[in-house]
Formats: sequence, C-alpha cells, structure tokens
Amino acid sequence: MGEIKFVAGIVMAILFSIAIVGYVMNYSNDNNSIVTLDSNFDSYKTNQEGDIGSLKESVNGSSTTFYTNKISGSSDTTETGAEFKVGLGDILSSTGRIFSLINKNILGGDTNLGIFLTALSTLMLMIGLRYIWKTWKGGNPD
Amino acid sequence: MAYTYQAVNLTSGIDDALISTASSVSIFTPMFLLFVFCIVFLSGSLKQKRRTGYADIPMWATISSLVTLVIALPMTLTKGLIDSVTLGIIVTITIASGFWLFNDRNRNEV
Repeated sequence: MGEIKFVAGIVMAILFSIAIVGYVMNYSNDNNSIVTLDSNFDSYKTNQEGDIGSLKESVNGSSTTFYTNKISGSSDTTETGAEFKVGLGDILSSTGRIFSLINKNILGGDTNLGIFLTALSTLMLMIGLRYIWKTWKGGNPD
Repeated sequence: MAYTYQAVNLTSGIDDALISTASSVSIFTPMFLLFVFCIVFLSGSLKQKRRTGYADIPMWATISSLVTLVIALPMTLTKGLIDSVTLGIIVTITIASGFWLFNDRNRNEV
C-alpha cells in the first residue's frame, strides 16, 4: 500500500468520525434529547479537529523547508530541483482562494465545516510535495 | 378469569406500550437495532454477490451502521427507549466501519 493512499485513508476516516460525532451531538442539542452521548465523546471531536489542525501546520512547515532543500547533483537530477518545484507554489494560493470562496458562500463561513476544506487542501499539498519529490529524486510515494 | 400477564395500560397512548416493553426487556431496543443492521447488511451484500460476483463488505457495513444510527437517533428523544451506552456503541461501530471503508479503497475509488 502506498504512503499517499494510507495517509489519505486515515485522514478521510478522521473527517468521517468528526462528521458523525458532530451530527449526533448537534441533533441532541437541537432537539433537547433525553439521552446523549456519554462522556467519552465530549473531547473526541475537539481533539480530532486539533490533530487535523496540527497536520496542516506540519505540512505547511515541511513545505517551506522542502522548497529550500538541496540534494547532491548527479547526472540523473539537479541539485536544487528548482525546475521541478516550479508550478505548485504558484497555484497553491489560487487553490486556497477557491476553498475560501466555497467556505464563505456555500458553507456559510462556519468554522466547524471549514475543517473539511482545511484537511482537503492539506492533503493536496502533501500529495503534491510527494510527487515533486518523485520527479526530482525518484522514489515512489504511491 | 385470571390472566397470566398484566395488560398494558394504554390510556396515555401506544408510546407507553413500547416504553414499558423496553423497560421490562432491556435487550429489546438493542435487539431491534441489531435486526435493522443485519437486514441491510446481509441482504445488500448477498444480493451484490449474486449479481456481480463480488460483495463490498466495508461499504455494506458502513451503510447499515448509518441506517441504524439514523433510526436510533429519534429514539433518544423519548425517555426509556434507548440508553447512552447503546447509542455510544452504535456511533463507535459507525466510525469503525468508516475507518475500514476508507482504508479498503484503491487510489481511484471512493
């Protein structure tokens, strides 16, 4: 199983669990239900969202160092890999603007729903970095 | 004539009959929800296996646990029908099925 498939599968499972627990908790609050989820779930949603947030931070941090990294040049590849790094960094801000537009106009700017777009953009950046690395150095992240 | 059981008091509606059944037989609500889960899971997966030759078990587990969750949620509005342990187990099984589903997919599938 490739790295990208593994990480993407786990991130999808975390987002699914955030959605399910959020749905049940909001249903209980809206309808004043007698029975609610027990205390194990109280901090679950907050912790999972915190983990997605820290995933975003660490992917952003590693992408910054990735662009300045160098490897030893050889006949197969270049030292800085600048020829391969071009393209992704420029279109990332445009993609981010698409997501914030979707968030404001379709999702209503809700921070609870914004977690899904955050996770999607983080995954896309991570996969993009892996593919640049594949072109630059070799190695197969699939 | 002596009855062998006590007739249910239906003056305040048929809800009470259901709640008194659930309170005297504590396994009633979990049994009913397990029935719903198994019906969707078994019928869907066996039918798919018969039609296409392949049964997508993680998908059917997720679908049937979502159906069970949606049926269990309105039960939380009435006192005595379902308890929080059962609800917590249903939510956990739903999350676990989703975890299984997403890790079972190929790169090009959903």
